[in-house]
Amino acid sequence: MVHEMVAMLLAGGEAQADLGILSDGNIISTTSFGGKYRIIDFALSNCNNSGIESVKLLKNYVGTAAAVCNELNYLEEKNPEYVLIVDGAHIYKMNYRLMLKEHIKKGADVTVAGLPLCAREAKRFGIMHTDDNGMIYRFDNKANEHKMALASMGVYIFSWKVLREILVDLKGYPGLEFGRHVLPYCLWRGKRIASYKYNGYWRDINNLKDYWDANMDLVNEVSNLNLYEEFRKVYSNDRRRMPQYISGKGVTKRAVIGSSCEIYGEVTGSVIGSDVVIEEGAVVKDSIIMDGTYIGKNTIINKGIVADGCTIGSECFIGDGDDIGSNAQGGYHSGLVAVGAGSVIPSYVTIGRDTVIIGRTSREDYSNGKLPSGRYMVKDR
Amino acid sequence: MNAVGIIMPHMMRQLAGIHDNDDRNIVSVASLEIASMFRCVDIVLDNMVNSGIENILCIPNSRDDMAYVGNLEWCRPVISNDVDNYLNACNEEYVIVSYAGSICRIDYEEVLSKHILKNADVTYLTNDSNEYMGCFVTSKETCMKLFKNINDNVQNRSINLLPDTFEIFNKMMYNIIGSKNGLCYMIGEYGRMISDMTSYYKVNMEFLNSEVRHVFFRKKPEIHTVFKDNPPAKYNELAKVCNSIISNGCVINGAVDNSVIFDEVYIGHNSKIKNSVILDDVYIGDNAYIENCIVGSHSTIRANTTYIGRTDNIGMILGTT
Repeated sequence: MVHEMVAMLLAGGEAQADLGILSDGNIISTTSFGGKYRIIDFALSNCNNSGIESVKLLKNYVGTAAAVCNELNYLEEKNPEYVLIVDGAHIYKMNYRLMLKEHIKKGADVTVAGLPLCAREAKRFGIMHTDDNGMIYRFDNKANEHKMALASMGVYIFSWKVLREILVDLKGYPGLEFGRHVLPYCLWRGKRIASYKYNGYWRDINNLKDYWDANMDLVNEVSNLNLYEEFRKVYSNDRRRMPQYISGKGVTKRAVIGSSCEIYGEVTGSVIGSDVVIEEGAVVKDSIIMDGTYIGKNTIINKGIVADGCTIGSECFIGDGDDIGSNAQGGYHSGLVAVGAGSVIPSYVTIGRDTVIIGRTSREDYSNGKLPSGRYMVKDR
Repeated sequence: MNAVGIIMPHMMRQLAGIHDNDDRNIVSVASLEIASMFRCVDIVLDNMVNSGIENILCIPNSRDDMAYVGNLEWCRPVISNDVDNYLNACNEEYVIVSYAGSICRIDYEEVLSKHILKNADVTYLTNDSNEYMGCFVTSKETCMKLFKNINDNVQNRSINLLPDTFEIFNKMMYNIIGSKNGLCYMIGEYGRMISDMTSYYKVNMEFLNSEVRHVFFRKKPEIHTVFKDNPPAKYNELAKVCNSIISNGCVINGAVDNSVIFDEVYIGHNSKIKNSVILDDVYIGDNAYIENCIVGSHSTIRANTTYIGRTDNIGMILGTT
């Protein structure tokens, strides 16, 4: 069987400390998203919708290009025409086939997908400088801050012969990255690198704030990320189909709510996973609640991210006060409260902002029933 | 278990009156969904499989649900009209016959034990209001006699096409085994028989009761059903949902009160749905009002339209209005 294009999906990207508490093993791509999905479902669905039959998951994080180097035997065996490199930590819907068409049309050795952003934003991802024909002549993070720039989305199509030649040259270089090492080397070797402009929705999930922002995008009435169309459908592996129940006293506005939830309280501006129970009088506002979490009566959660399987008592106030920045490791400055998977929070406690709670906490762990803003608490699960 | 299961074909009319003979008006109960969670036939098959029944015969009807039953991953019933041959080939001594509209969770093993213990000729399943649940247990011989009688009587008319199969079969059953030693087995928990659109509406609405949801949604083992990969439900700024079931893939812009909304339903701005059951893949435009109705699958309700049924005569809306 001849494979025109095989996909190498980088699924091992490690989360920054704050986002890491939401997933097993700190892996971004397997973190729950949007009340049903895992972040990696987007890249996988894109591959499927682009008609790519071979997708290789690269789990070890040793550098993006280093991970592909480790799979050279796989690629030799498949011997495709083209190799698509995608990252499992990005949220977007893209047809890679259109990008391949451009790649072929331009006679490129490499094509890099680029998103037009203001230069200040684009710097974070690397800026592609292109000529009138859309061919890239330089990569860096310098540009006039007030102008638009083309940010690299971390989506690459290589002609396999070129990728092979380059990776054989660079093999063994520790922490080899496409953006930092491989593409500049390609330029130096005189390879033809084309840009492919993508104008849709794209988010890179790297920290807790990115994650919260991307979830909140789903809650807006007109979301740039439409999950409700058959066209370029996003698939998932969540096999639950049970409907949800909203009680006579329940309120659900600007909310995305997963299967088999029971909502007796108020949910606004929030994304709720499957099997979540929100009791009467509880208020969940601008928050993300993941699968199987229970929220007791009259508890208020404001800008909270509560991971899977947590139990939160009644009469709590979570997300109290103003943002103050944090003294926690890694720094939590987003005003969010993060609660790790399987955590327990007792009834009648107040928890400030920029806080992190992991594990089974009890009443004695909170002095005066409070966890002040900027603090964290880690207990056994 | 020492019994085979037989699932009867079961058709019913959606609209009464002038549409009686329109083929599109007749639906198979087996393929109707309950609370957007499972098809009626799922629950009957699930009961049979969980009770340890190894051989299940599904008598086909004219609708597409035979393809559904034939392609299930979790059980492989035989689909055939030839009850005689099927029963002859089986070693089991008893037969459990059920209609797809028999909505309950039951361990047939218990029913059979009681049937044998009481030395009954036939055991009828009833609910706690003493209504017949469209399911009975009898010996293989009696069952074969019954089906022979059916075949002799309906002759050229194909039983599986008739909308009134349930009533016709019950009459024959009464003629053949009505005089025998009959026993009733009352189901301890929820039990309803779906025989027309009114009872179908009622069963769906009863899922607004948490005890009923508990029996079918939470009680282990989980009911086998077919996976649908729909996104989570989305509620926009002006959504106002009260005492209702909402399913995956829905987008709600209006008000939903005391209703059951199936998969992939869009409800427009300023629309209101009250005391209604909206089946899957329905589009409801802006400013619509629907009360005491069932809206059929894949229907489109135009903007600014009003449909009001009565509590004693539920409205049925099909197709594009």
